Amino acid sequence: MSWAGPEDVYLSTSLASYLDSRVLQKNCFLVLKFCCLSIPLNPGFNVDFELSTSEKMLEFRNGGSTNHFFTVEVWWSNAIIHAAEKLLVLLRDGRKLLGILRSFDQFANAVLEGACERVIVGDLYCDIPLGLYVIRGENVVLIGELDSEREELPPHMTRVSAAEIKRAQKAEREASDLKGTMRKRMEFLDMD
Amino acid sequence: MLFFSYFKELVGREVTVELKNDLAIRGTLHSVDQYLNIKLENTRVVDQDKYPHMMSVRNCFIRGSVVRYVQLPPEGVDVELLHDATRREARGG
Repeated sequence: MSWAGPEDVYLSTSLASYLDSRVLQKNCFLVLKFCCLSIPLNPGFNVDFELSTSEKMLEFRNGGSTNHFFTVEVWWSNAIIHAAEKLLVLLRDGRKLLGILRSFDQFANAVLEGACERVIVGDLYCDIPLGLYVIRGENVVLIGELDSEREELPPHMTRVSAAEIKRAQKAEREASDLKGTMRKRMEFLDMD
Repeated sequence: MLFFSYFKELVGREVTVELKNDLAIRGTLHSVDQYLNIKLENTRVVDQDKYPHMMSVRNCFIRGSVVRYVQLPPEGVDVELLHDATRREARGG
């Protein structure tokens, strides 16, 4: 893909803009895989430089004022962002993964570090640790930033062990299967 | 590209995005890209009780391919303009 105009760069980066200044403010540096370069991103640090000349993909701009931090526009997939932000990733099969985003690209492929799956059955929940996960973009439904000041779950929900949540999950699945077969048997009644 | 430009005009407005998994999220449209990926801010899930895990999500990125509907504010649609634009696009201009 050839280098696009500045407008296109901005537009192809909604995932990048997801990691907007708010996320980056908290993070200390950004590593470019291509150039093995670490750039400190401290608030107020004056950066005005561009790597867009060849097929390099990052452009840094200072917001102009001292209390406006950097906008970082990521073009292509080779930037690894060291973000200490906890994210929630919803997958197409309904799974909910929590973890720290380490990398992503334009397909929403993503690398989650310290990932865990949050299983919720009724009022019970459990975080099952998974480790490092690479998620193929097509399975991603939503990536949400968790607000650390808010409760992650409503207060009436209780945390249980992995074994217990598996049991609850199985019971729920059996109940829904039973409901399905009952409905099938009743079909001749033509309830609609 | 027409609807991409159209959605760009809607940035900053309050929209409800309904996903193919029936999750509906309301929030301020922050940005949109050529795949119609959407970023929402100040989000809240329409059916909060059914999706407790979404409680602390304040802003989110939604992959364009999973969006079923985007519910727009009525004043956000200029039907005449959109008619003209779609006709022009259909003619290949």
